[in-house]
Amino acid sequence: MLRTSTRRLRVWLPLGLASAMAIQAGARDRTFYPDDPVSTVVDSQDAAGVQARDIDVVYDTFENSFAWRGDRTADVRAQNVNTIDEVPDSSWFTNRLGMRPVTADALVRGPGTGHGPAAGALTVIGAKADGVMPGVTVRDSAGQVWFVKFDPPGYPAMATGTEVVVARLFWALGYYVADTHLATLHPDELLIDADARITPPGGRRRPFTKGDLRRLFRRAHRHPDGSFRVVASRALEGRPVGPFRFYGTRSDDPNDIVPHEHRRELRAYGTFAAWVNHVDSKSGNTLDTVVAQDGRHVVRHHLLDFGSTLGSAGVYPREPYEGSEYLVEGKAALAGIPSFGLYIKGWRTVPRYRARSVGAFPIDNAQWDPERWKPRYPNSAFRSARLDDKFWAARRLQGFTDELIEAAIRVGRFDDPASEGRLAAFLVERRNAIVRRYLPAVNPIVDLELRADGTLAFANAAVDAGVASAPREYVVAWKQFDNASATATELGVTTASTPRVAAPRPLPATPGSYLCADISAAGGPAAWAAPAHAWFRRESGGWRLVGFQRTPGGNPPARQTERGEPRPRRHVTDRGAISSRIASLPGPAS
Amino acid sequence: MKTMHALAALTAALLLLEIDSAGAQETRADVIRRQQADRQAVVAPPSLNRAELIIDRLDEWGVFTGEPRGIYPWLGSIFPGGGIAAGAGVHRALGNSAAVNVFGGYSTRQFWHTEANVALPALARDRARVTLSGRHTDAPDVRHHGIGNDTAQTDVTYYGYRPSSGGIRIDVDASSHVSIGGGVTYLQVESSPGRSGPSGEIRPAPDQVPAPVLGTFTYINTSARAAFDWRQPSGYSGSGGLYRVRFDDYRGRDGDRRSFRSLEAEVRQLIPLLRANWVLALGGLATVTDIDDAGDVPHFMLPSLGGGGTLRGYPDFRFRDRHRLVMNAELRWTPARFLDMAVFYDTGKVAAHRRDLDLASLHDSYGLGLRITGRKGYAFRLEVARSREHRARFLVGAGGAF
Repeated sequence: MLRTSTRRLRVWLPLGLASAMAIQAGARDRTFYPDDPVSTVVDSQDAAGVQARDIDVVYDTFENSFAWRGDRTADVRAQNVNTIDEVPDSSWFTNRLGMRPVTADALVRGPGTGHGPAAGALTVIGAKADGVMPGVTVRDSAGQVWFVKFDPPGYPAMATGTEVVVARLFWALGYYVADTHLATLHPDELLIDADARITPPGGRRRPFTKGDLRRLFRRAHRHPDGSFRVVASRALEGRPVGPFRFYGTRSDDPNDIVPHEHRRELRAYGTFAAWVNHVDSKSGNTLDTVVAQDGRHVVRHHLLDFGSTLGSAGVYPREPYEGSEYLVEGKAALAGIPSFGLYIKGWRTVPRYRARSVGAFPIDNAQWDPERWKPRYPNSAFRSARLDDKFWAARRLQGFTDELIEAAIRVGRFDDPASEGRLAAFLVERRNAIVRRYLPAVNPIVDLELRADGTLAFANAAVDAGVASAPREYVVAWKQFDNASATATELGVTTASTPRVAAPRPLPATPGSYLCADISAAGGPAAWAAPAHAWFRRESGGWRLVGFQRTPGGNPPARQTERGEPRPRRHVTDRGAISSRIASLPGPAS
Repeated sequence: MKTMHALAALTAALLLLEIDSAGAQETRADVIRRQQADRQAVVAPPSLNRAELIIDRLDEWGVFTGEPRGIYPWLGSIFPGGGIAAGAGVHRALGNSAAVNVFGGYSTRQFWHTEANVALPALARDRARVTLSGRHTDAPDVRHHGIGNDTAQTDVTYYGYRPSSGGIRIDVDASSHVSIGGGVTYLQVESSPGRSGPSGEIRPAPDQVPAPVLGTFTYINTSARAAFDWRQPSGYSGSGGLYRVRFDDYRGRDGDRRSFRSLEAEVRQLIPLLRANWVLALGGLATVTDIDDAGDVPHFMLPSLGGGGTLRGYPDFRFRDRHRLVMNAELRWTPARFLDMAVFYDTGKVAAHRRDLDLASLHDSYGLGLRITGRKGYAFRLEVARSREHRARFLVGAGGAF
């Protein structure tokens, strides 16, 4: 009897389990969660075990010049965006400009308190002997540690001014950067701590001496009164654990679950770097620190060292090729060998502004094409960037008004009004070029709202920016969306010549029901015919936007197709993957 | 019983449904937390991959910085005509500016070389550097075509050349562009019959080539030099110039008969064209020696023409005599960063008398070159040159031509 009942149980139990699991599977496949769209991603795991590591600059150069590391799959949507296609706040990024008001005062203050090193003597506690720009680590009279860097001889404000300006720009964009300040250093105010150490190139670590200080000063611009203008960077909070790579994840950080090449803020960093000609946007100019937060340790990711941007190359003015060529070019180099120099590269003939205060940069940037910009060597995150990532970046840059740009430049105290004006024009023109290039490049629908009266209201970012003409009409295909099964039932199509489109009636009124609207434009740029998808959830207060996806399919990375670079090994499309993409946040593509 | 089994199954199903019900309230934050928790279980400390380890090792060997740390392999050239040489060295930095470097190598043509340098701590606020050095070279088979500007290509013999030296030199940066220096060196050269004798391929009548001077020669060499270098940067540049002069006094220990003096002057001028799309590089080098009427400069101490530094279409030491004049011109272009191309033309002569150092009877060569460059200088070059005697000579080497 017992045997019989056991046999029967063997039959019934799997049946029950299977049916239950099928239901559960349906629940797991839901597209939207109650808290979507999330505005913050919390690092939930303790990262106290993260160890310091370095990335050799030579290796990094070789690796990225001759290999394409990370996921080379083409057209992969950014994997850390939330369900409405925005980047949540995280240990990588904090939404500021474009999402929250940033005043000129806030921009000038940047990430810190607004104060540089405390008055009084500075004590040298360490030194950076290698690298193109020398520097020392000092402790001020209040005990705060700063890293101090100098201007190169003959260029009295170039590197230091550029550093503080661009650090503020990137802070406003949302990145973690160091708190930097300009300061005047009098050599007689410098003391040397007994425990200060230096490791000279090719040598062993040894005590820091006055001779080292002298050698350092020789590589710096000295003012007639004997003083030095320096940029002082406040020591970052937490324990430094080395730079991050622009691909893959950090193996010892449990919270690092999105491959870096698929992080939107790192992809967009390429567009921002193009804006300020930050050709040195490499791993070596980043730093992770382990900080205490909410009772646990988490890794915070910073961008550092902006002294080699705009017209400055750190120790000399920016060279003409920088921003136009990689250090290692393949076919272009081979083609140039038999040319006897008769193939003249465009950057050689571009008129350049040159001044000791700000360095050197192209005078006319109105026709500059950000798509053709190149850092010193390829960057996996920049290479993975799609047009929707660049659209996102362009929208953020729109937040930089001319006044904000001018305010940032004033922080640099270049003491050269004419050059400051040129620098402002450089940034304004390149900002406009980015906006002009990327806003019309995808379906530019933004700021969606489904009103109580059933009107879908939105804006056209490209039209509003004046970089495209309004389309003839907007076409919206409406669907009722089942969140559990990710299936949709068509409700109809409506059109309008303005960005106010009426929904078909009646719309579902049950709380928790979902609508999907596929919005395209006819009579505009071809890219606008590809619909943007918006999902709304019925809540007690009305319809709430819970999902948005700009360009499913038809969005190849422009650089690969236009620049003739090697094609990726694999190619996938977005078609049919809308729900899985949205549900994929923040892990790898499902 | 059947009912009981069905009930059990239903209970199991409900249990899972209950779990699912809880799951239905799951949030995006929960999903992220779960993914992070899953990763927490598999975190691993960072480690270097094989390529990183190799780069690390190459860096220790000074491949990228030119400043090795500890023991390192050495690859280079021992002496012109010796082929490629390999060996090992040890470098120790002492303090900030002092260092000891000892290395040695053996070449594909069985030449060998050892060298030790001690850089003393810098003086005069790092503007002055004093270096002690000792070296020995064994070049058992060096080409000799005789002396004069019109020696025949077919007249060739070989001799052994074994210099040993030890000395001290000082280099002073007088300003950002001006450097001066000098030194004293004890030099002993042993010249012997070559290992090959007359070439196996070219068999001239023995009396057509003046025999190399054989024996052991000892000198005290005192030198002084000055240079004005406004190339920016000095190693690899598209503009500026280098003007230098060097004086050497070789005082023979065996009497005044072999004592002599030499004076060398060099000009290099770089002229950028269209923002350095092309660079016209011009070079001129003149060397004169001075000796008492009764004296004689050993053949191996005479200025020579030929090879990568002077006349590239001729082999090393193709022409030797008391005085030398060389002029070079290159039109360079840059297909890519770290890659230079050039077409070049070299011309020059040697002469027994200073008055003959004119533009008559010049030997010349021309060719095409490819160079790998860095910010600090030329790292490697490959050139093909043509001359009256050679349809195509291939030159591979480190550094730039001029």
